[in-house]
Amino acid sequence: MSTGRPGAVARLKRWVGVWLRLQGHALFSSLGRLWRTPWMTLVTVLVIAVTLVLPLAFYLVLENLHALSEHLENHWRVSLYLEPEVDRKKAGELLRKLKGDRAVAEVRLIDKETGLAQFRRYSGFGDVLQALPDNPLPIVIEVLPRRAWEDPEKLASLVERWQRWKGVDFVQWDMRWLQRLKGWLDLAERGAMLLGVILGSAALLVVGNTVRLEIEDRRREIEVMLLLGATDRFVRRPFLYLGFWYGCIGGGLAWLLVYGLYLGLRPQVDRLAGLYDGLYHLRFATPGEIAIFWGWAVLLGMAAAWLVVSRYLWSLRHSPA
Amino acid sequence: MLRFERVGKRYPGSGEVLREVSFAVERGQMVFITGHSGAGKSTVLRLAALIERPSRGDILLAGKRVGRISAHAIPFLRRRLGLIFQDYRLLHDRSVFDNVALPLLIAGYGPEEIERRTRAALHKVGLAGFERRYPITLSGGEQQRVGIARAIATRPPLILADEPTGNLDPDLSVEIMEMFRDFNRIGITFLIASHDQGLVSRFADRVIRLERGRLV
Ligand SMILES: Nc1ncnc2c1ncn2[C@@H]1O[C@H](COP(=O)(O)OP(=O)(O)OP(=O)(O)O)[C@@H](O)[C@H]1O
Ligand SMILES: [Mg+2]
Repeated sequence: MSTGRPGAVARLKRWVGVWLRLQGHALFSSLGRLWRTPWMTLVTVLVIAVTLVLPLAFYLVLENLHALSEHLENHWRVSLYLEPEVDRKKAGELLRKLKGDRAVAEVRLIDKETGLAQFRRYSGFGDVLQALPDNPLPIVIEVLPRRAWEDPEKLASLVERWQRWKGVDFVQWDMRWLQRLKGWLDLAERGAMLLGVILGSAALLVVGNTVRLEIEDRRREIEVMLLLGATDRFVRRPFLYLGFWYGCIGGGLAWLLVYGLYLGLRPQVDRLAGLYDGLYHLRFATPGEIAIFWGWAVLLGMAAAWLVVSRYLWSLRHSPA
Repeated sequence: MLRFERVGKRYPGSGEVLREVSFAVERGQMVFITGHSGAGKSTVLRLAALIERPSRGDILLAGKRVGRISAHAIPFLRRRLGLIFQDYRLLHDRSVFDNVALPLLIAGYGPEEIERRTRAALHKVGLAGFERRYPITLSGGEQQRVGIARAIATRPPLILADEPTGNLDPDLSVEIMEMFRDFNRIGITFLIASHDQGLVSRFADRVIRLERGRLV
């Protein structure tokens, strides 16, 4: 007789069927419950969304600053501002001297006229300069160091040497503030993580409290269901889905809000970036990041519901009736 | 079917509510528990329904010792019992149909089976056509019949009823008891708590009399 296997398969099928049916029932009945109290649902979902917006926005700002600093790091450019009285010929000598330096990969001379043109284009103060009789800008030599010198300490020693050359007014090197920025970013990242944990807990409490109120409302129903043979899982299921919907809708709404912020900020940031090379664009989250945060929000909602219902069921059994 | 073996019960902070209570309900019987108020009738039923646990002794349900059974097993045992209450315990935000269908949903029946059994149960208690009504729109007798339909929907072998007619007038009480007797004749065992002597003497196969927690 070979009825054992098909029997087991049929049982498994039946079991899966029952499970799916119960899940589906809980999923949609909990959605129906949310629908029946639309204002309360809306307020709860908004509170959750607003709590989640802050860490999300923080995360994106930090990610962008990180990307920007990485981007800038590729520009190990040193600018030598020459003294105003240095002329074209003297500047040419300095240029040759720099070309001979084994630390230097490339040099470029920006004469007074080119400098003025650039200044006009980017600063927006062109008219002010027009009013001046003379071109007040110095000649500038831009130096790109070789790969081996792309290191803050080595570069600092180069800069110090060039600073002492005759005819050089001052040497500007932007990496120092970049280093400092990166230090601050690391700190801010840790702060953001902490903020995320705190606000995540706040969202957990909001969902938990809402579920607690819902339980309060359905006390009698839970009691009757337990008397009719409902397992803890059966009682818990609709509340878990309630948490699921709160997390899902709240998380989705949070992303929408953050996206709105992003759209609002992008033109300004792009204009600012245009002042430099125009190479940097404000970045929004990737689909993967969106999915992960959204998943966390859903998990958070379900975890809150699970905790509250389990605690309630526990207290039913352990309090004197 | 159901057996109490020297069962004792004390609630937290109470004296002995039941003492050395032993009895057995055989399959197909219609047994009544009587006694004064506070004698322990409800306590016996709550123990049989696994709502409370015995402090001493043990309880056997369908041959199984259940007095100290794990909490996880209780829901599954309860699905083989029908419970009927004095205050009906209906859910007022659900239709009559949904109330009766609830134990079937809990037990994991499919939609067609739930539909079929729910209609059959409502038909048996004379409430065919009441599916879409809500409990508050029904009379007390009708509400109790919804409660009975809910208890028989899963076709349990044993029904426990605590003062099922306590809130109903004498005529309705007799009607309900006659319904129980009809179900009893098709094989369902009943254990009913009541202090209505008239009903008890008219319908009982056997009477368990309690006096201050003891069998007499
Ligand atoms: N949860 C409880 N905690 C403490 N004492 C309880 C509890 N439930 C019942 N009792 C006590 O147990 C005794 C028996 O109560 P029970 O409800 O079983 O009586 P009963 O026979 O059903 O009475 P009635 O006819 O009034 O319903 C009473 O003295 C009651 O005060
Ligand atoms: Mg009682």
